[in-house]
Formats: sequence, structure tokens, C-alpha cells
Amino acid sequence: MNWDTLIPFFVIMSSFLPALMIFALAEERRGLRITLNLIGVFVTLALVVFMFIGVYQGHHYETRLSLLPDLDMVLRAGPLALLFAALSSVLWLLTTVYAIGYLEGSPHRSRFFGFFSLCITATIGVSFSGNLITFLIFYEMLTLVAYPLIVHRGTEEARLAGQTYLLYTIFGGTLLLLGTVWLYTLTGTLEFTPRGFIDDVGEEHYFALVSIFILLIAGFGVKAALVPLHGWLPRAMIAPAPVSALLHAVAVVKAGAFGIVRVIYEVFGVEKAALLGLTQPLAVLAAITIIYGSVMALFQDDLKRRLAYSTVSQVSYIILGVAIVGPIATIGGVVHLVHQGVMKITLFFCAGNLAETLGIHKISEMNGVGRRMPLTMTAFTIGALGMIGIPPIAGFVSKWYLGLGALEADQEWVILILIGSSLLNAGYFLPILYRAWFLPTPDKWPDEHDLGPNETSLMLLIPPLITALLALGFGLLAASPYSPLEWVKLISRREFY
Amino acid sequence: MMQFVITLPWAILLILFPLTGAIISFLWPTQSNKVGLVTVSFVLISVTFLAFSIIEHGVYHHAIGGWGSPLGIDLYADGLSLLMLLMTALVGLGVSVYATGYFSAEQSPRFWPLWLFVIAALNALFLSADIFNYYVTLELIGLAAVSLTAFGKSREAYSAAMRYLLATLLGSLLYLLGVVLLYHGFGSVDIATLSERCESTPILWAALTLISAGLLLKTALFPLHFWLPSAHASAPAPVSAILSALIVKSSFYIFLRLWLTIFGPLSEGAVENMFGLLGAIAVLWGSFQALRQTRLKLLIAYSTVAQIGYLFLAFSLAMSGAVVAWNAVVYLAFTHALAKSAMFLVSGNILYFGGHDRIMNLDRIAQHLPITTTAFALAGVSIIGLPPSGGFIGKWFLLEAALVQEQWGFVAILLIGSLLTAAYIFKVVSHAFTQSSLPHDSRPIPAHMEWAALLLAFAAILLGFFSSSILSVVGIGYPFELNGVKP
Amino acid sequence: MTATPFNLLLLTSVLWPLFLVLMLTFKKFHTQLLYLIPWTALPALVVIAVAPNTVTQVELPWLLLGGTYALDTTGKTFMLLAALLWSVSGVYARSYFNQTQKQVRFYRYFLLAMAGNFILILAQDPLSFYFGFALMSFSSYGLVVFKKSAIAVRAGVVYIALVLLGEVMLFAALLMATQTAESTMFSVIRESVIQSPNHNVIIFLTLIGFGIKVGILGLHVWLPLAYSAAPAPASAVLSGTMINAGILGWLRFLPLGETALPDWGTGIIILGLAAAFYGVGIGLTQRDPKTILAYSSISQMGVITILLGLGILAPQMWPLILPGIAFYALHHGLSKGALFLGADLCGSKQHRDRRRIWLGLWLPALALSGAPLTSGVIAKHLAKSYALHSPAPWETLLPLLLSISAVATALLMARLLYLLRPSAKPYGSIPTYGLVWPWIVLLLIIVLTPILVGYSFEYALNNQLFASLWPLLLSLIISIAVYKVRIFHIIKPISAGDLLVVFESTLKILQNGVKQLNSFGKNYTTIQHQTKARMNVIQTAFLTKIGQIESTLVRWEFAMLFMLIIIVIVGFFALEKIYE
Repeated sequence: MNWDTLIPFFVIMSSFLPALMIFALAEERRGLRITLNLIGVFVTLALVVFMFIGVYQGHHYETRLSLLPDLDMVLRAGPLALLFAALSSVLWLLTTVYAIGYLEGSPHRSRFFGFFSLCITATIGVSFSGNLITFLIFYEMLTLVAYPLIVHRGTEEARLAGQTYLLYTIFGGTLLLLGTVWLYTLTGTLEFTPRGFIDDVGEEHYFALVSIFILLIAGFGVKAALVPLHGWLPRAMIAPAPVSALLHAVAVVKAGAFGIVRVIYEVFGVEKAALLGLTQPLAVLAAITIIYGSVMALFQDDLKRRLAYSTVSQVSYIILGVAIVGPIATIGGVVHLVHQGVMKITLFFCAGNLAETLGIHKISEMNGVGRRMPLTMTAFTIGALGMIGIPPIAGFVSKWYLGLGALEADQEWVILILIGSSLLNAGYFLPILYRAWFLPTPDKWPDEHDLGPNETSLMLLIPPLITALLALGFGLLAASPYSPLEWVKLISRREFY
Repeated sequence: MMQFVITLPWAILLILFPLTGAIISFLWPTQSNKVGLVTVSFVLISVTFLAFSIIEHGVYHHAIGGWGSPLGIDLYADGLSLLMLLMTALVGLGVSVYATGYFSAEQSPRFWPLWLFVIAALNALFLSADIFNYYVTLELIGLAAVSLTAFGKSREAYSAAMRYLLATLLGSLLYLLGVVLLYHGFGSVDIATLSERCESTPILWAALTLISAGLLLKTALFPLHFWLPSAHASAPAPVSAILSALIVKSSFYIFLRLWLTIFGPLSEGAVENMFGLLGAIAVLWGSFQALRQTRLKLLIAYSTVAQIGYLFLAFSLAMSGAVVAWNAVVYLAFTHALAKSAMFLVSGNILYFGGHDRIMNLDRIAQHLPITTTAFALAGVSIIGLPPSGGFIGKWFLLEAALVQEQWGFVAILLIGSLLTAAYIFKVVSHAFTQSSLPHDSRPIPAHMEWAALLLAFAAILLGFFSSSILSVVGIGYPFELNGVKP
Repeated sequence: MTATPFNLLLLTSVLWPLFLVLMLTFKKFHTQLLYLIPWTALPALVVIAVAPNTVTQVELPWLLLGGTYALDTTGKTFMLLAALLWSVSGVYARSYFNQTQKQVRFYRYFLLAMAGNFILILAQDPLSFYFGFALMSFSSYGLVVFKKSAIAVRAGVVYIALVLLGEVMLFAALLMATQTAESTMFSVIRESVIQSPNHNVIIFLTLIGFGIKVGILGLHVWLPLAYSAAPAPASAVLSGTMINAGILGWLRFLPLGETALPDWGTGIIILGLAAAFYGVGIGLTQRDPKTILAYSSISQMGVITILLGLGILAPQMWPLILPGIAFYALHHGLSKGALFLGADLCGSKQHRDRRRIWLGLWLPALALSGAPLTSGVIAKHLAKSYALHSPAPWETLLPLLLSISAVATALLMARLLYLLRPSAKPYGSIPTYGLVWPWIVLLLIIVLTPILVGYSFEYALNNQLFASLWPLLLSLIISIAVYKVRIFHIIKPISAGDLLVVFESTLKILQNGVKQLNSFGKNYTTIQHQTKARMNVIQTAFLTKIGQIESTLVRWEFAMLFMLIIIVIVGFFALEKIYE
């Protein structure tokens, strides 16, 4: 029998089965739980890497299960899928390590890590989905399994945040379902195909196509926190730091953005979408989101809330890059999928470290923290400067290609947006850095814990350092082979143009 | 060997096993639990073999005593009836396993005979092919169900049972009148014969009116749902599960059959739309009522009202030509049976464990019953129609049908309905994660009671992955081709 | 990359400071490192010393978006200045700060800025340049606010704000340039910028973006603040290198020597002239030596701006002008550095030390005001010679104006020397051995520069010595007169960063706007809460309502009524069917 048809399935299972086992574990079986987790992570990683090499050699990995009479459940490992899968599995590894350190001795850990792995299962599923219905299935699964993580704290506040989250996401899911079914009734297929599969839909269905597009984008936009569908994201900040990291950098928000990428490139096809006059409004919407998110971030004193709003604005870079029709802008947008991930996860890790070690939640409490936790704050600084878009950190590369793409597509206004958001980013990140590095240390921290000889426990310290290095490396070595940028270039060559 | 096994008259055994089981458990009360379990597992086995034979030799048709219609009693099983039988067997097994733990030593001897009797009646109903047998079985089911409902022993249980009794009697009475009219008018009770003979005469239409009214009443379609919530909520958990999973479906099944074979071809869509409309209202009304409830069992009961609405929605869509809607009907019915029974069992667990089912204070309980909570969540996923689950497949077909026909009103109803469903499901689930420091006195709960619920819910999810094969089985004998049911 | 040993040396000279910064993170090495760090810039000096005449490029295709590095002739001059200044002030800083803690903190930013400076000098493609530029600008912030005084913080805010402004402007300019050039090589970009439809935008953005660093008129406000706020070694090095980074940026990006852009040229020249005089004008009123030096920088840069304008006006002259600008930058950087350090050395009480230092200060002061035998006179001479060959009307106008500006500069220097006179109250730090000797070295270098470029007394004689002398004498007379009249006490110093007042008032308005936005946000949230509350009320009301309805619905009579209704409706349909 042919293994190529099974490997994508195995990847899903490699995180799904550990999840089930972890659920079954008793609370105090710490060691076994960690081993299970790590086994899952590494098997996933190994398989993804294997498929990377395979795809380079022109292998074709695809799993098909019959779902509906004439609709299959398809898992396919294209370059785009692999990019996203690799991102999520690598960050999953780091986040797991971080979470183990973070939740030391807190209740309901089996539940937490179970759902954590399920989240990754869903995300990997989303990335490998070969058609819209498969995507939809894993997407909804993600919606559900992320919920227990958001309300993990179990406080009333958390419960309300969870409600808001569900309110938004379920609503989005419903729109998505409608759009998908409607599309299916028109095309009779949902298979992701480069340049889209709606070519044979007649002109008389113009209205239908437009409404489908709107439905799909809105459905994904809820998770991608497109204004005005972003309301749940800042509220979801009650979740523990690793969850926020996962939410913002890997799973939920990214899944939304990824969905939009899929819709535009492999459902509608970017030229077709442009012909229907759909990309321009989307670009404008993304631009509005970018600015709006940054402006809102200015006013937040709660560190994680500020980061949340910055996510709102940063994720829209991806959408902007996709909505500007053109290969270079595509590169900028899609590569930001990775870059934003590593940078934002760094920031959230650091925020978590501050909260865990010193009990710092507000920016006004961060005076001189750089002296107390130099390494953490160095990582934070790299992440923040990257967000502003200062070379040689990854964020700059994304912005550079976005700008070039915009110029290539004769959309100079985008440059203004980029500049504006850079300034705004500076406006809300630099004050933090200033406080941390240049203000005197207070004689007492809000709630200090002693976590070992280093500035904090190593399990909390190492993940942000690694992600910070990644953010730096992705920018500094952007032009080197095997960098995300090069891989994305391959994608934009192979899949789109 | 296999061949021989398959050729055994499983259909008849499907009725005989439960009957004998009922009698034995009645005569031998101390062992009733064991007897019951053995019986239901036999039922499941026989259904499987019947399935084998049907898949191999197509539609099953057997004339008891060789008389054949119009005189004798015919047993008839195509894909649809097979599916219903399977549903009965599965839910039956789950509920039975649960019941062994749920009922106390003096309750269970009274429960098992009735329950097995209900199973027998249900199987008979799904196997029979003439409207009079339908009446008989329906009546039997109704009465047994009422007496099961009365198990609650509380005052409101009695009043609810009373209300239920009257409703169901009235329903079957109307149905009987209809049957009489048909027999008088067309001289047969055999569906096949009727479907040949019937033409649009006043008698037929009078019969149609009475029959559909009666069946709607028994199926508790809005606004005739007045008896359902109280009955389903006050009955003991396993009974509630049976009531809303199987018994409601039985009357709906008859309704479906009759419309498919006799009425459908004659009334070109006129009345069906009204049913669809009622269904739509039921969806919204039931969901809103569910959202309103403060007690878990009532919430689940009202959700049943809404789900029945979906069935009729699909029905009217299908009758007006969208063939995929039949798949929707099948799937919604089947998954609803599994999921809803699971939910009621969960509510039973919660009552059993914590002594109350007030949604506000569920957190104290849910924390301690992870399996039960999971069961509820999974069942909820299926009821909402989130992927991957049987409910999702059902919703998918329904939506597809509505879109193909460009019935935007129905589309809107569907979406709003699922949003509301999500709202009331998560209203419950959200309490599973909130910590509560308050202590509570609790009664330890047997593991198999939790697992029964979980497995039923899981089955509802699992259905989402086998739709194509299941639907191909249902298609045997073309039950959904109007006027196409011909032995 | 072409791995010639020289190139390897080149790279190491750039990577060396970065490596040392990394090492600084380990506490245990601090003591040893602090002996090493002051000399960080030496490899760079060596590089210049051994640099071959043939420019070899280092290709690093994997770096950033593909980087090209080389030490070309222009780069050599700038590199020389940078290396000298970084070394001198590096050594100076070692004994300027007494505790290790401070030294470590200072050197952290110091080294980063140095690395950035080297990178941008060697960069041959805009992205690498931009990278170095950003690295230098942002890490210099640490130097500006190093003292943490209120003034320093204010200076820091102004500085960083302008840095950001410059960064984004350059970002836009870079994007457009590379987009039209479809290449990331300076040589290509310089040629093709002009073809870009919006080349005017590009030129404007470049001019401003780098002009902020150079301190062109209007965007010079950060210079006086930053340089007076920063510690002496920092201001010494920044005044030279930071400004030159801006100039180099211009030389690299602008389409110089390609096509004549008269409007731009004229505009730039006027801007430069304005700066040249404005700087002196404001500077004369100041009382803080460092501020005065900052303003003199502004006016000196004015002169360089003029030369740049000439280059744009008359491309054919550019090959001549380019080395002139480079030399001017070198000369200014060195003397300014020496002045900053010297000004800082006037901290002792002993009259003897004071007088020595004061005499030492004369040298760079004279050089800057273009006295004979100094590097200054060569620079001024070059400038004037270009002016003479510039197109009308400048060829008559400019030489005169340049001489007048020389007078002005000399006056400013006189003012400085007056303020730092031995009898004045001590200023800066006490001249210890560790502080003085690097300064002496710098002075020697200044003395030697003219000889190095083959300048001699005869040359001075037969190049109308008087012409270079009369501005000096004139200014001397004026200053003596002024000194006698003693009007200086009357003059009120204009607050450092003159125009800044205007900017800040506008900023105030902005701030209020933000405040209002903020309050609006608060109102918004309250409104949100109110609406939510209302929604809840409505919701509960609705639910109770339908509850009541339901309770009536489930009553028997109603149920039966519905029953009948349904029967009637169905019956009605039936009748229709029958009688159709």
C-alpha cells in the first residue's frame, strides 16, 4: 500500500491520540503527561519535516475519506499547507514547554493539555485541508476546543469572555457554513485549486458569488479579528499566557487569516476575485483594521490587551497582502503569517513571564523591569522592534514586500498605511521599552515569586528567547535558502503565478 | 453457515425477542435487569443480520402465515425501516445499560416489561406496511409510554402523564378515524394497495386531514407540543430518553410513510408548505423556550420541540422536490435520537449525582463528572449541527436543499435556529468550566451510567463520518420516490 | 562572496563591536572586556590602512534581502573619520565614567551605534544601509538619554520622534526607488531614480529623511538638545558620525552627477545658506558651550548642504565636489569632536590646567573657522573654488556668502572660547590623564590632516593667504569690540532647539486631541455598558414574555383550538383540491 496517502492522516493523529490519552490521565501523572505531549509534538514535527522534503522532491501527499455522497474529506500537503503546519507545530513545541512551566501546580492540567493538543490537531487539520468542507470541519473543531482553554481560569470573568468568544465564532461559523453550502450548490465541488474553481460559474450568478465571498470572508474574518468582528479578541485576554500565545500566534487568529488566504487564492482565484471587484474593498477593510487596531492599542494600559489590539492590526497585514493583487504583495502577506507568529508569540511569552515572575500585568508597573529580567526584556524588545518593522527583524521583511507589492499594483496608498501603522506601533511599543530599560526599578514588585537562580524559571525563559532568535533570524537570513521568505516565494511561484 | 444465519426470519425475531423478554422479565422480576440486557442485545444482533440480508437481497417482504395483503399481516422492511430499527436498537441498548444502574430494585421489575414491550411495538411498527397495524402499534406504544412516564411518582409527573395520555389517545383516535375512512373509501389498509387505488376524493381528503392532525399531535409539532415538555421533563431520565428519541419518531415515521405513498402524490405541495411553516415556527419557538429554561431537563425537552420542527422543515422541502432533503430527514431523525437520548441520560446523571438540575448551579456537578459533561458537549455539538457530527451532515443537506430551491426564508430559519441552539447548549456547557467552591452532597454514580451517555453521544458524532454508506443503505427499496414503495 | 583576506578583515571590523556587545551579557567577563572595548574601533582603522586601491565587493546574498558591502573611495574617508572618533571617544569614555556599572551600560549602546555606523558606511545596497542606519539611530537613543536627567529625557523624546519620522520617510523612499530600479544597488538606483514617475517624491523624502540626521534647517531642533544632554564622549562621537551618516546617505541615494535638477539645486542651496547663518545667529546667543557647538554644527552642515546643492545644480562638477564634501565632513567631524571633548575638560579649579586646555581648544576652533595651515582653510578653499565655477548667479554670489559665513563661524568660535576662558567658572569634568591624552591625540591628528593631504605653507602663500585670513581678522576685531562693549550679558539666550517651541506647541494640540480621543474612548465604553445593560433588560423581558405565551399555549383549550384550526386549514386545501 502507498504511504503517501496516509501521512497527512498520521500527522492529524499524532496530536489527536496524545490528546485523548492525556484526558484519561490523572491530574498528578505529570511526567507521563509531559512525555505524551512531547512524543506527540516530535512525531508531528518529524512528519511535517518529512513531507517538506517529500514535496521538494515532488511527492504528493493526500488522504481522502468519503464524507458525503459526493464530497470527500481531503487532507493534502501543498507548500502553503506545509508552511502553516510547520509554523504551528514548531510553535506548539515551544508553547508546550512554556505551558508546562507556566501551569506548574495549577489545577485541571490534564484537561488543559488535552485541549491544547486538540487545538493543534485542529490547526494542523486546517492547514492540510484539501477542500472547503474539510477546512470548515477542522475550523469549527478549533472553535470548540479553544473554548475550554479560554475559560480555563474558571472565573466568572473568564466565563463571560468565553461567551463573547463563542458568540462571535459560532456566528462566524454559521455564515461560513452558509457560504460553503451555497458555493457547493453553484459549483458542485469544493476542492481547493490554484487560481480557484469558480470559473465555470455563469455570469448570472454574479450576485450569488459576491454574497458567497462576503459570507466566507466574514466567517473567517471573525477569527482573523477583522474590524468590526474583532470584539472577542481583547476580551479573550483572561486566558493564561500560553493560551493567548497559541490563540494569537498559532491557532485561532491565524486559522482565520489562513482561511482568507485559501478563499482568495484557491477558492475564487485572485484574478477572478479582482475581476468581481472584491479584493479592493477587502484591502480597504484590512487597512482600516490595521490602523484601528493600532490606535486602540495606544490607549490600553493592560499589557496583554495592548498586545491583543496589536494582533488585530498585525494580522490584517496578511489580509492586506493577499488583497493587494500581485505576486510580491502575496509574498509579503503570506510570509507575515510566519513572521507575525514568531514575533507575537515572543511578546506574549514575555508578558506571561512578567506576570508569573513579578505579577506585572499593567504597563505602568513595568518601570525598570529590564534590569530585573534582562533576557526576557531583550526578547520582548526584539519582538516589539520587529512589529514596528525595524530591520533586520522579520517584521521589516514583511513590510518591505508588502510595500513593493503595493507599488507594483499601483496602490501607493498602502505605503501610507504601512508608514502610519509603523509610527503607531512605535507609539505604543517604544514607551514600554523606555519604561523597561530607562526608568529606575521600584523597590518592590506587585507580586514577586522566586523561580530559581535565573531571572525566572528556565522553562519560561527559553521559549521566548528561541522565538526571539527566530524572529531575528527570519529577518537577518531572509534571503538564505530554507528561510520562510524563500519558501513563500516558492509558494507564490507554484500555487499562484 | 453465514448464508443460513442471514436467511433466518430476523424481522419476526425482532418482534418476538422483546415480547418474550418482556414476559420473562415480568415473571422473573429479580433477574429483570439481566433479562432486559440480553434481550436488547439480541435485538441489536437481529437488526444487524436483517441489515445484512436486506443489503444482500434488497427489500425484505414477508407475509405472516402466507396470507399476504389485503388479508394477512405483512412484514415489510426497506432501507428507511431498517434505519429506524437500527436507531431503536442502538438507543434501546444505551438506555437499557443505563437503566440497570438508574432504577432501584423495586422500580426495575416494573420498568423492564413495559420498556421491552415498547421495543417490540416499535419494531413491529417499523416493520409493518399497513395503516391498521400502524394504528395498533401506535396505540400500544402510546399506552406503554404513558405508564412509563408515570414512573416519576411526583405529582407533576402524574399530571404530565395524564396530559400525555389524553393527548396520545386523542391523536390515535383521530388517526383511527382516518384509517377507517380510507378503508371505507378504498377497501384496503395495505399501503401499497392504497397507493394504487387512492385518488383525490373527499373521503381521502377527510382521512388526510384527520390522520395528519392526529399524527402531528402525537409528534408534538408546534403548536401541538403542549403535552411534550412536561411529560419529557417529569419522566425518569431513561424514559425521557425513550420518549423523545424513539416514540416521537414513531408517529413521525408513519406520517412520512403515508405522505410518501398515499397523500404526497395527490396533494401537489399545497399542505406540505403549511407543515414546513409550522416546522419553521417550531424551530424558533422551541429554541427560544429552551433558552428560557432554568432547569436542564426542560431545556432538553424544548430542544426536542425545536428539532421536530427541523424534521418537518426538511419534509416540506423534500416534498417540494429537493431530493437531498430526504437525506436531511433521515439524518436529523437518526442523530437526534442518539444525541437527545444521550442528553437526557446526562440530565439523569446530574440529577442522580447532585439531586437537582438547576442550570445555574451545574458547575458544582459538572466539575466532578467529566465523562458526563463530555457526553453533553458532544451531544450538543451534534444537536447544534457543528462539524464533524451527524447533525452537521443533516444541517448540510437541509441547507443545500433550501439553497437549491432558493427558499431564503428557510435558510434564515436554519441559521437562526442553529445560533439559538448553540446559545442554549453553551448556556449549559459554560458552567462546566467555572470553578465553584460551594460544597454539595453527592451520590456516587455507577460508571456504566456515565459511559452509556457518552457512547450514545459519541455515536451521534461518529454518524458524521459514514453518511455516504448509511445513505446508500437507506436508499434500498427507493423509499423516497413518491409512490415508489412497491413490494 | 569574494573571500580575499581584506574582505575578511572588513567583515571582522564590522562584526567585532557586535561580538563584544554579546560578550557584555556575561557579567563575569566585564572586567576583562572593559580593557578591550575602548579599542573596538581599531580594526576598522587597520582596515583603512591596508585597504587596496581596487574596490572589492563582499557579496552576502543570504543576509537580509541580499547584501553587498565594500569600502569605496568615499567610504574610505567616512570610515577614517568614524574609526578615529569612535576610538578616541571610546578611550575617553573609559575614564569619563568611574563605576563599571555605568561603563558597561554606556558601552552597550556605544558599541551598537558603532556597529551600525560601520555597516552603513560599508553598505553598497540601500537595505543594508537602512539596516545600519536604523541600528545606529536607535542605539544612540540610549546615549542621548544616558544621564536620565529631565533635559536628557526631553532631548530623547525629540530625538526618537525625529528618528522615527526619518525612518519611515526613508522606508517609503527606498521602496519607490527599488521598485523603479528593480535592483538593490546604489549605482543602479542613482541612475534610474530619475525615470521614476514620482522621482520628486523620492528626492524629497531622501532629502528630509537624511536631512534630519544632518540637521538641515527646520529639522535641526534635536541637535542642540541631544548634544548638550548626552555625555561628552557620546556627543563628541555623534556630532561627527551621526551627521556624516546623513551626508553619506545623501551621497549614496540622491541622483547626484546624473542629471541637472535646477529647482532642487537652487532650493537646497538656499536652504543651506539659511542654515549656515541661522545656526550662527542662534548660537551666538547661547551660554552653554555644548549647545553653541551644536549650533555651529548646524551652520557648518549648511555649508555642506550648499555644496550638495551645487552638485545637483551642476552634475558635471559632481566628480570634483564629491571629494570636497567628503573632506569637509572629515575636517568638521574631527574638529567638532575635539571641541566637544575639550569643552568637557574645563572642569578643574586650577587656573594652570584651565589655561592649558584653553590653549588646546584654540586649535580646533581655528581649524573650524578656517585659519591658515589648518584643515579648515583647505575645506573652505575647496568650497569656494566650486562656488566660483557654479552656474549663474551663484558664481558671484556664493563666494562672498561663504566668506561671510566663515566670519560668522569665527565669531561663534570666539564666543565659545570666551565662555570657556580660564577665568570662567568650571565646566565639565576635571582633566585627568586618562581623559586628556586621547584628546591630545585627536588634536595631533587635526594638526596632521593638512599635511596628510599634501598641504604646505607655500601652497598657502600662493593661494592668496590673505583671502583666507581676512574673515578671521574681521571676526577677531568684531569680537574684541563686542567684548569691550560688553553687550553679551544683555542678550537673552534663545531656548536651545529654537523652533522646537513651535513644534511642541503644535504637539500640545495633538496631545489634546489624543486626550479627547481617550475620553471619547471612555465615554464609548460607558455607552457600551449602558447598551449592554439595556439589551439584557430587553432580553429578559422578551424571554419572560414568551414564557407567558407558552404557558397559555400549553393549556388544553388553546391546544385543541389550534388542532381545529389545523384541521380546518388542511380541510380547506382539500376542498380546493377536490373542486379544481
